[in-house]
Amino acid sequence: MRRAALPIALLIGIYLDSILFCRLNISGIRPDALLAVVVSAGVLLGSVKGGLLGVGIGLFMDVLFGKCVGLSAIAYMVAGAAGGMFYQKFYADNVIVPAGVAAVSALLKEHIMMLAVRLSGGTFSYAEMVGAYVLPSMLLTVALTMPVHVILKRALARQVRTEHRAGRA
Amino acid sequence: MRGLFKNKPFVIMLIAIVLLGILAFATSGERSVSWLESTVGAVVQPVQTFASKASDSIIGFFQRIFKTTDADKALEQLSARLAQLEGVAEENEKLRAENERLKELLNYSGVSSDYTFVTAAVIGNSQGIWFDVFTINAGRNKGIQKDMAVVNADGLVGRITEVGATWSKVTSIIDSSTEVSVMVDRTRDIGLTRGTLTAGDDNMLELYFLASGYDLVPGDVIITNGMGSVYPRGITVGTVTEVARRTEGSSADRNAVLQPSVDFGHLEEVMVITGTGEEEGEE
Repeated sequence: MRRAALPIALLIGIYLDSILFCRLNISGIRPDALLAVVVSAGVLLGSVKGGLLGVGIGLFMDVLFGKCVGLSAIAYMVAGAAGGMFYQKFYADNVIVPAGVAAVSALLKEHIMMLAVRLSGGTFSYAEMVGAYVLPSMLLTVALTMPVHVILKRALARQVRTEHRAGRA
Repeated sequence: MRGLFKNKPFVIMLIAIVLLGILAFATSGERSVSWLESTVGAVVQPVQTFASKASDSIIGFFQRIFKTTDADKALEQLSARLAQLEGVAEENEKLRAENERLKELLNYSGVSSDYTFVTAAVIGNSQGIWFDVFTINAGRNKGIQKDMAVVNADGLVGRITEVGATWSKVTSIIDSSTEVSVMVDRTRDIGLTRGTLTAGDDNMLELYFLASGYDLVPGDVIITNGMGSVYPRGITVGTVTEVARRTEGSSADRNAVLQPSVDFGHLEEVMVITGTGEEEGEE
């Protein structure tokens, strides 16, 4: 069951991001559940695994639901790899670390999307979008990342311990 | 800085970002779905269809929680029988609502006998508010092709932009990159609608390029004008809610703001126009 924790978390994330949050949101403001999972996985498993997981899930989301393939993959890859920068650091047990990484990653992802919209001819007010959508959504993602990290940390505890020992040896 | 570029994982990530950026650029235009994408979508489509339907129940559950008072909650806890009956009633209500929606779609296809339709369920949406793209559970297996128009009982929804074996992606008319050639139903003035991107879920359209001296009032209905090969003529696009002040010599200024006739926040089933009655007859 514990081995399946990460795939289950990803499936729930896909469901939340592609279906539920599109129908249940606060004036369009919604968290990014997959980003929370990818960042947490990065912190717990390292940059390489986090980055690969990010690319994989990003490409999956782009292929199935995105307008062009690669945008989410970039954002999730960087998020996973950035989370991995805190891998095996003593302070990584704190939920503030993944929450902080999620905040920066959410900002990066939304700016990548914003740039893509601009390049495809869309017009919008940058200040309005940042104030009314990007920052509130980022806060929701941060709030979601904390419980996700606590749950994943428990679920992946054995794997993390094994890798810690291997790291010390 | 030089040390950073000696860091192998960092360099690999940089290369991956560049490659993914190129991939995103290459796939941003008109393209065909690769066999790999089609297969991945075909594998996931049944699960997504199930999850999408299940989410209606989940949403209903949450709505019930938020609408219920403490007294109701206590009563619900004490009365298991009542909860059971409520469950049955809710199921009936869900079926009734679904029945009504499908009836509406059937009525629409009955009224618009000029076209042949394929009905499909919405099984997933793009993340965030940046792109208004959604996935439906019908693809090449149902005769869907790229650039087919998508409608529902209320009017124009969008067009098919990618087709997989058992799924397709629809770019809606409210996407900021989508333009639709339209006309004012009352005056027959020809113009162009474009999706808008605003924070919040007020999906609006903007109307551009009406001839100078246009006559437009709030409440005017805007329909497709049939120019181009994507959207058939006469499908309702939206209603004028705000007419812009006319300015001399600036054709790019919008003429009006439209409320789309389709409620994009609650889109569950759509119909893809797969052909006209005439085409069928010829075959």
